Amino acid sequence: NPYAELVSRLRATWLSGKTRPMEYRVAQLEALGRFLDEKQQDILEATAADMRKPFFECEFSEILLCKNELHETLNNLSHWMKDEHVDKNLVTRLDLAFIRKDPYGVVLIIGPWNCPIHLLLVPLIGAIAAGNCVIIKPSEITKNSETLMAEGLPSYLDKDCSAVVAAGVEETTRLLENKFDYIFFTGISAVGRIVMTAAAKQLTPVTLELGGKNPCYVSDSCDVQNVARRVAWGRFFNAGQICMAPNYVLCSAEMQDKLLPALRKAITEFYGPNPQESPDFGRIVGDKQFQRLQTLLRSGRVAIGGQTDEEDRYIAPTVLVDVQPSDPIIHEEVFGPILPIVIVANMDEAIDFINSRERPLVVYAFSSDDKVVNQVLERTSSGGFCGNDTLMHVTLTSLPFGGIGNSGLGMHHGKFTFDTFTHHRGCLHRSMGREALHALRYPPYSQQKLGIVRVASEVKRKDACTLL
Amino acid sequence: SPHAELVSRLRAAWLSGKTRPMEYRVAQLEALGRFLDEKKQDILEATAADMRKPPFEVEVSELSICRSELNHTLNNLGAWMKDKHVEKNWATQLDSAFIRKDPYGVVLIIGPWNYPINLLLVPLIGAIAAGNCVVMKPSEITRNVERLVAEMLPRYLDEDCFAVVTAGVEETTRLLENKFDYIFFTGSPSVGRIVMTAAAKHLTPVTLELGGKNPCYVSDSCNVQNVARRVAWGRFFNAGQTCVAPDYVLCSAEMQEKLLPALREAITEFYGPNPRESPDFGRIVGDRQFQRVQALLHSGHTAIGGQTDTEERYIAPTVLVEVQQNDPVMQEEIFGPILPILTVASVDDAIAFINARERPLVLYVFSSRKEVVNRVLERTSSGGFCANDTIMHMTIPSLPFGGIGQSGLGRYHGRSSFETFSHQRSALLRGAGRETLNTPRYPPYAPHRLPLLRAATETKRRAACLLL
Repeated sequence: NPYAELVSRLRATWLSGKTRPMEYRVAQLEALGRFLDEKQQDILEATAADMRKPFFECEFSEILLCKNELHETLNNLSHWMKDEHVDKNLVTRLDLAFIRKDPYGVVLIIGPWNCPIHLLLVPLIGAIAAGNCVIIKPSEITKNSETLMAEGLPSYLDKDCSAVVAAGVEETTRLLENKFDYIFFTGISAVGRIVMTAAAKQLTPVTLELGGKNPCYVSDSCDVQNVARRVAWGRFFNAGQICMAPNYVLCSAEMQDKLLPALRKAITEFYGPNPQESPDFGRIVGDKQFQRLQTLLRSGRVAIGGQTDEEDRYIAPTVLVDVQPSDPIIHEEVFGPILPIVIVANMDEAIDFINSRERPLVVYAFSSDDKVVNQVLERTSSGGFCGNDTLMHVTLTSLPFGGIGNSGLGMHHGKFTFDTFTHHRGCLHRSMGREALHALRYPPYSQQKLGIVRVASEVKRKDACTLL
Repeated sequence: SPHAELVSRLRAAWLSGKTRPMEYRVAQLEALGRFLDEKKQDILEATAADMRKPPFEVEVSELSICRSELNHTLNNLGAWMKDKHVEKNWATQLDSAFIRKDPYGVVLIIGPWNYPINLLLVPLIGAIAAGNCVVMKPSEITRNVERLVAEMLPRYLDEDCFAVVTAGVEETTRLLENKFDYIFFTGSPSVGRIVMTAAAKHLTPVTLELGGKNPCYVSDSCNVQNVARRVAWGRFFNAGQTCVAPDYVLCSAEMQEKLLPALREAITEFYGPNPRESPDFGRIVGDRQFQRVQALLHSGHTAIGGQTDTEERYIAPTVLVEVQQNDPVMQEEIFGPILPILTVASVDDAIAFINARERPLVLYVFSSRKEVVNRVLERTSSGGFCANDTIMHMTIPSLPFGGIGQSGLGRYHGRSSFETFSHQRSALLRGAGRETLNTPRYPPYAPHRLPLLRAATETKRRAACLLL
């Protein structure tokens, strides 16, 4: 087991209590902040080299959003770490009852390739804040970012308590044979199952941030040009390689007729007449992913775009129509700059379509009519929901980010990341004396004692009218 | 799959939205309350028939706790169900951002045999409160309670949305092949692994309430007689078949000298000179479990008790001394009325002993000195913690109850039950207009727009002095 020694070393550090003091955690988090500042140029260059990520996109989605999480955490850490005192019953009225926020111990964070910095560092922030020791495994697919993390990050963080492991599929399988106290995985559902199965052997709790075939319902009452821009932005950001991107549009045939020219216009506004020449449009991360996307283009009919360039791994911002629900592009998560449109007669049909499939990471609904947006929200189930926009819900550190069903389990961002990596330990501290209070529950049992015990400890139903 | 039709029927009921309205959930919970009231006598008789549970014990540990959880939930359900509005950044200032509490869908609750009512119904309360449909599987080992629950409970609850399945090991394995949206399991760690592995195939989130050897450190500064009563009560309640019972005592040799006579006195106070004749002392649930616990008696030296009767499945309240770490009684969770005492030189030795083993469901410390209690609390890790008493931390609904490591994952009781069975769905509802606010983020990207975008979405680091 090539990693046994590393895990064991980190566990010894955790047991020593080194990561417990707030000052220590703050110092590590501030060091992470310095990494983001000092290595900013390296991050921009690495992601550009790996997948031609436009600098603007990298700054916004990889660095800025990370820094927000860091600041939110540093601003609130002492408050989050405090013991939470809880309501007591009559019997425990004079005691101390509280929730202690304990670290889990040694945690493993496995990052994906699409946002290789953000999706590794945001969980890391929470893991450090919660007082854990951490092993980080960046994606081996984005080689430059992997190297940057493996070589750059350890110079900022305490090597006793954190380590970066560069590993391919084989080695990651070996890594997962070790006992971790928490595993945080971001990636595809198929690998999520493998991770959870490995975790089950050790009874290790997990958070799985998986994929989602995110539906995007566009009702007939909307500002078509605004919708087109917001949907196009969400779909083509990072050349479509985002887990929260709108995966397919559901709308009426009439709406499709209006949406197509609006989308064409938005795409031209964004990337010019030939997006391949735009510095603001990314590329597909690798040849394997490129082939997969090229195959998906064969669904329906190309209404906009459709051009590809294998050497450049370029796929034009594309919109497909005449797509059948059974087409592969509706089954799989697209994860590329292709937006299929599926015709539905009305909102009810859209909701049924959504509910008959795996629950996605996010459901999008566009309508000027609040009732429509709320109906879709109430009658569907998904990780998250966004009305009249795409992606923006993840810019709020106060909203939990996570999937449900096939799109994942667990959640993070802001305090939710801290809570994810914290064991909420219920604590009761009673007095050594006051034995008379205890005697009521001891044998020999009697009806009289029972009556008193019940009164002293049972929660009563409050009157319905006092709840109003 | 024999249960496929049932699961499918419940899923259809859930999709219909039947369980969503608060009034529906309140009605089901109130029906559960009527079950506890109207079937109280049947419950007392069934638990007496299954394992000679003293009625007083059933009242306090099965019925009263269920009633408290029920009332606590009914008192607070309205507040828990409400959308939680969250802090927004500049960009989303005019939008609606909140967390919606959605049910998971169809959940499975598997109950154990030791507290067959409590440990099935308390999770059920949370599952119903959160709006789920539920399949319950009571333990097949406590046959009378299983029959009672299978025959009576469905008459109180809506059969469209709730079902009781009776199943042995074979059928439970088949049951687990179905896709559930949440699985709540209480039982042994080895079966917990099996459940989590099955859950992993469907990416189903789980809560596992497992077991462990709960250490009980008794420091030199304490009121020995009080300690003896509280420890004896916790150990011998339900004839030791309690997941949060103190499993073994750690104390100094001097303390052991004082503790033994005090324990002898407490046991006599509780059960008389011959506990076998006391109506207040239970029996081991079955022959297999009896053999297992009896074998553990071959450890160290019997200081108190030690008598057994195979026909009655009686094991006397027993205290063992001179126990070594590799004795049978220290190799597994005892789950019987046997209390081994191991001597340690100091509190630090006790801490080291505890930290060298699997993390327990609960850790007990007895000391009049606050510093000792806090030292053990800070330097160990466990599901829960209780100082100067045993078991009582479980009676406060507002304290989360759950394990860590081998003792389990997830938590429940009170609001934690509701949250366990709820998916916290983030929702951002934006305006259909106000497009100018969005333009800074669109391509073509302009570096000068980044500061604007940053200002609109960032979380600033607050000055350190403001935090004091």
